[in-house]
Amino acid sequence: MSFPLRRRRRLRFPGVLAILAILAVLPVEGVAQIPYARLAGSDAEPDAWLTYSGNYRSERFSRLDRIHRGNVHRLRPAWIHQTGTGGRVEVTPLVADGVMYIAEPPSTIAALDARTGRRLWRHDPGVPDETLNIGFPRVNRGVALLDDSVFFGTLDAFVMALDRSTGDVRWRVPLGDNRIGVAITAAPLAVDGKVIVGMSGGEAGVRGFLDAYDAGTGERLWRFWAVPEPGEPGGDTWEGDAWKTGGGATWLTGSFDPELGLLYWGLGNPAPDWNGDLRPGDNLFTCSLVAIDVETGELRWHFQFTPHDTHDWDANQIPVLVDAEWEGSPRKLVILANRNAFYYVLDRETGQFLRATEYSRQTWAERIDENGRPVLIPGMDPSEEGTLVWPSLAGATNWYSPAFDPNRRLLFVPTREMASWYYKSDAEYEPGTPFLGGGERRVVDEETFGAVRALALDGSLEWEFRQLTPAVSGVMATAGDLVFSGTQEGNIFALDADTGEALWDFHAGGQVRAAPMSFALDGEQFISVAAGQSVFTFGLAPDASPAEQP
Amino acid sequence: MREEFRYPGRGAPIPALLAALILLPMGAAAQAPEEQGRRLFEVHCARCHGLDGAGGEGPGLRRENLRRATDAETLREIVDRGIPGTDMPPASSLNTQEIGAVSDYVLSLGVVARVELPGDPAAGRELYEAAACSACHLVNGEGIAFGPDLSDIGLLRGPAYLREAIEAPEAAVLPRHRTVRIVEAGGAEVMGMRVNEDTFSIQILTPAGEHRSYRRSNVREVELLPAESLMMSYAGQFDEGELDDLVAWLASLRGRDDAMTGEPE
Repeated sequence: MSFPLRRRRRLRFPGVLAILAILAVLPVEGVAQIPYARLAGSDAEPDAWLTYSGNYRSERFSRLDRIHRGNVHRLRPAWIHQTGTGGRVEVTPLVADGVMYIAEPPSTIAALDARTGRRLWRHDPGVPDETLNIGFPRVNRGVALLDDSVFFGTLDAFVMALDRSTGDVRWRVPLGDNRIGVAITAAPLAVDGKVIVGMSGGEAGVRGFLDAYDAGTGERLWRFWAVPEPGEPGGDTWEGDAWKTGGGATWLTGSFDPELGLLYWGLGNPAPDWNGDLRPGDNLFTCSLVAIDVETGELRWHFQFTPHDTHDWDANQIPVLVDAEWEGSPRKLVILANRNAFYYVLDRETGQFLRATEYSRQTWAERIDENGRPVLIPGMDPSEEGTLVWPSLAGATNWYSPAFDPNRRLLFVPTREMASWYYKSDAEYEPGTPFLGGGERRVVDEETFGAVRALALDGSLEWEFRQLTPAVSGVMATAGDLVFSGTQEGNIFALDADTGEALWDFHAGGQVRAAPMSFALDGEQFISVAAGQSVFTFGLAPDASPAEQP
Repeated sequence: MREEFRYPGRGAPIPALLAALILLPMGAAAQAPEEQGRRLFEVHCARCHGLDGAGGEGPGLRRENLRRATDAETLREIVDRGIPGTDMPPASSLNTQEIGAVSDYVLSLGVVARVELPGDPAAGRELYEAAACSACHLVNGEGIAFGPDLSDIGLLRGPAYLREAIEAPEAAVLPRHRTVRIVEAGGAEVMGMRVNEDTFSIQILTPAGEHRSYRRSNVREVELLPAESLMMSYAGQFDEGELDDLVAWLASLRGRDDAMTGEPE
């Protein structure tokens, strides 16, 4: 055994020397790493897009302004990457140092040359056909970058680290058991030395959790359970064994405040979804936003938007962290447009409820009281014969990212104006099968439409851009005074951030079920967004009119 | 984490949806398989294939032979795994028994009984030609293609629907074929059938058979006229016996008799 090994080493030695020699003469950016400091300071590096929502505050705001209101009409496709794997592409690409990292359905990761779209490497983890995806499509929404690795989760519930240069596997660890419905569709969030990974599976009656892994080794550092055991704080909001199958999936990517050392993560709906009789109580911490100590995984505070939810209005929507004056004094806030049709402002140090306003039609709550608890309208629970309620099951918004313009202090929310008939039925927990207790039938009529709505910090409506059909696309805002989004009809478009007026649109020929992002190379700004089964990247066509002004 | 399903488009016939609302029974185990299959179909399939399986954004399933599902086993596989490269998703939230029930229900949709109708199809055919129906409809490739192709209308629609479509065509217009009135920038009005639309544009087919595409921002007005059809009403033009004949002729149209012989796609 030892002889061939020695021989191989000898043969490789000159090569290693050559590589070391190259490394020694390359400029620093040629072998750039992505240390935590780059992630935490990403606002200073607008050419890159280093985390799922653009920065730790989840603003999804590009500080690039080379594409602006005066030239956005010249936006044209620069290149298109066709995944060819079938299925929906819901990824937000990341870009660092000229390389774009994307996820293709169900769990394949690819690195593309961001200049041309040409593929640099691809890793298919080989998700078995029989992998369960109960309650969601076979998608992957993206990766996380840290140091020399690309982190992602697989549909069959493994967390993996790939080498950023080659796509080779560094480590692979199981997060949960897909045979009972645990899966990963969300992009992880990388922080200092850790990878935070959420899971899917609430519709299978999985008990939700959020994990932290050592970025270097894959060792699990902590697990936060979204549903407490009896005796733990919140455990008294469940009866009997219902907590064991209580849901509360963590299926989107949260936000992070490095100064406070807190992660902010939205938690999913209780299980079974539509039959609440099987789980009396408020069902904490389902449908809540939680603040978790990044070092220990301990719960700092929680705020429950929809106690004892029976409409599948989970609270996984992206929380946006904002520092602003609030009623006369500077305050660290977290804002969130919830699936339940209310927009919320909370103090992110304490979880204190500050304000809620209705941003989309709803017929289930009279109002939100001074503690942030909804005052219910009677008779709006799902029923055997069906109950008509606004918003629909998919909610007034859903996983489609909002964007926050820190200059205007506007939150741009992809909105769905739609009702559903909600039905209730029996549900019996059987591992690895749907645990639902009912269903919905959507109402599609003249009152059904979509919009991008611009909300001021207090929740008041500044403008709306109306779409033909309810929103399914995320939104990105830019320092070029633009707001980008898409439609399920296949449009990709740009709006004036001040007025909501449409300034540019492009028909991509496939539903836009993803959020846009932006990056720059060699001084040129690009916009990327997935549509259909492809990733589109747009840049400015040559200037035809020299008179253009920003 | 039910991450919203596919939106069925503007095409779902709302009055029909509401009219057809059926009690969702409690518990799957207690129901007969055919009832269970229908229920599952309504929840999981009807968004695209129509509440009655006649098609919508997805293809109609009320056919004796489904193009891809050539036998019951293949159909089950398609329901289970979806059709890669199309919008047909796998029914990943259904168990094997439920997949069987919904597949059997889909197969049952293709069995459209030939009911005995009072009219005379041959006389109906003469009326069809005399009334110049072929000026707007195709039957087995003959006629002018503007309204729906009627070659297999007897499979797709029942006699009551066909009678209503003749007398009150506006009630029979599928939402995706709605009549649209457009006022162009210069003030000219154009009527046509909606062919497609999105947030920024709309495409119509004019009665002259011409496709027109408009940017919403470039026209004065786009008005959908859900209560109007580009087909005139034939109410009062036929007596009862003639209507029976015409319906009998249409009901007899069950697909091209000169079976198409192209290569499968």
